[in-house]
Amino acid sequence: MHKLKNYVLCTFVTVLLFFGMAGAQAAVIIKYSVLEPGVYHSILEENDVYDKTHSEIRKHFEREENATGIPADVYMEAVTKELVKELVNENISVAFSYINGKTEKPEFVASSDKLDVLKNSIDSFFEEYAASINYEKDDVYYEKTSSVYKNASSYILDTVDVYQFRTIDKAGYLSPARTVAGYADKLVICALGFVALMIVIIVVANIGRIANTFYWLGIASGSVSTVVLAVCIYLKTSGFYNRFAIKASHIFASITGACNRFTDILILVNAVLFVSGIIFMILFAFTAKEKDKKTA
Amino acid sequence: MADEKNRQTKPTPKPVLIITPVLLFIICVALTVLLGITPYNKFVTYLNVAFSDKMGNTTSAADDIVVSGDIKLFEKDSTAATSKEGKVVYPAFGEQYAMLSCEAINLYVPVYWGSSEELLKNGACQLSASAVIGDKGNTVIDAHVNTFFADLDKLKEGDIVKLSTSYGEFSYKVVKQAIFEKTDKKYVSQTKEDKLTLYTCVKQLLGSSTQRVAVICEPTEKAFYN
Repeated sequence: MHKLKNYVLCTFVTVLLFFGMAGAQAAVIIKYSVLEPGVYHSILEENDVYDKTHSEIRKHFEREENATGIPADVYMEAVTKELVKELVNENISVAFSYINGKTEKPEFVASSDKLDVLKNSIDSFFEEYAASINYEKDDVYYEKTSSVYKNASSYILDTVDVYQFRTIDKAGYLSPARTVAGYADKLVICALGFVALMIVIIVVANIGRIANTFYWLGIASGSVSTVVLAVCIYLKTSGFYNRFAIKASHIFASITGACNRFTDILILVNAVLFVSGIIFMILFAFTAKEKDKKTA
Repeated sequence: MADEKNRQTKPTPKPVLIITPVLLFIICVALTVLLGITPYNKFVTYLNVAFSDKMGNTTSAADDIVVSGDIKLFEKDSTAATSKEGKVVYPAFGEQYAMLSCEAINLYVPVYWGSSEELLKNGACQLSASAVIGDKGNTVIDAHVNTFFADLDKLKEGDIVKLSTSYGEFSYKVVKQAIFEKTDKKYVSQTKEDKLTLYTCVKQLLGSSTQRVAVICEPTEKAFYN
């Protein structure tokens, strides 16, 4: 009777441990990867997103040249790869400062000095052009230069938003993300605490029978890692992320890069858990055998 | 007492040891699915929209248009028999299906069917909603003002424009020029009468860039190859 009660208790606790482990993984990955801006910088480097963003900007102004007559070089001499990288990173920092509660409001505008060089380049071009056709600067002139700069800077700031934080903010989803992020620390502590409690219960219920402890821990680790690995391997091998609808190369690379990175992290964590599950089962088999020998 | 101790130390039967992990795995997966139904239903619409490209393309379709490096000249064979009536050949999107020439402004440019940024880099583009060259209606062709149509506004009344295709050669005479706003579809829509409309942006750095210049031509000769 005691054995049956113990069996039912451990079964129940193992199911809870399954969900506890899944939740703890999610909480830890969200806290230390998803909400960490540094992770996104490395994703962007790995997927050449900075170069792709610079290339998109260059292509846009080359296309515009045919319609506006303003050579692309007027813009691209100012908008260097280094500037694009700074603007992309600044955009991510602004978003995560807001999400992580460091700022009250996300201000998605470039620091005013960063685009001064673009303004100067546009002003120089128009000054030379006006001088070449003996055009006297008037309101039309200043309005034109101002609108050219405004359109160019607006396009650049939209393009460097590779994770579309502005769109997400306008749709009202950045604020709930900030709320969730506010609880990230507590979620990690609760999840890990819950897992620890379940492990303690299993250990206490099987005092004097360490083999059984390994058995139940092995089942929990093996089950949760199998489920998560199956989903992750499906996502990776089926090319699911390539179905992402936005095909602009810089946005596609950044979003699918992030999806692939987090999937890789899940695969790594669960591969370790799976191996742990196997080790627990081997330990169970070994210690159970030893105990059988002793009792025999 | 000894019996009690024996029962407690009796090893668990092997079938139980094997079935338990399988059973627990099934229970955990079933519970995961049950608990996941509600959040899945909530987010599936967003997922379907975000990951809606069933083909799994990694680039946009426009980027995939490969413009052939070989330009077809469609030079007229002087010995070939021609007639005023004939059949047009409908081209595929992105296909170079004509050469546009005009001696008055030294213009000689390939014409592609359909319009995209990639095609406009390589030549003039015909609006696919307009009449195929040689067919009834308004044939509308555009190109960038900073490249192929830089001198379009220099065309005068009476200048001859030719379009050479694989199925015939067609000549037009310029009848008028017009300036219109890009939102005005009057010069680019379909018409009952046969004509050719060439248009491009008005080049004006310190003015509005929303205007277009159109050169309207009426057909003078149709020579379908027999």
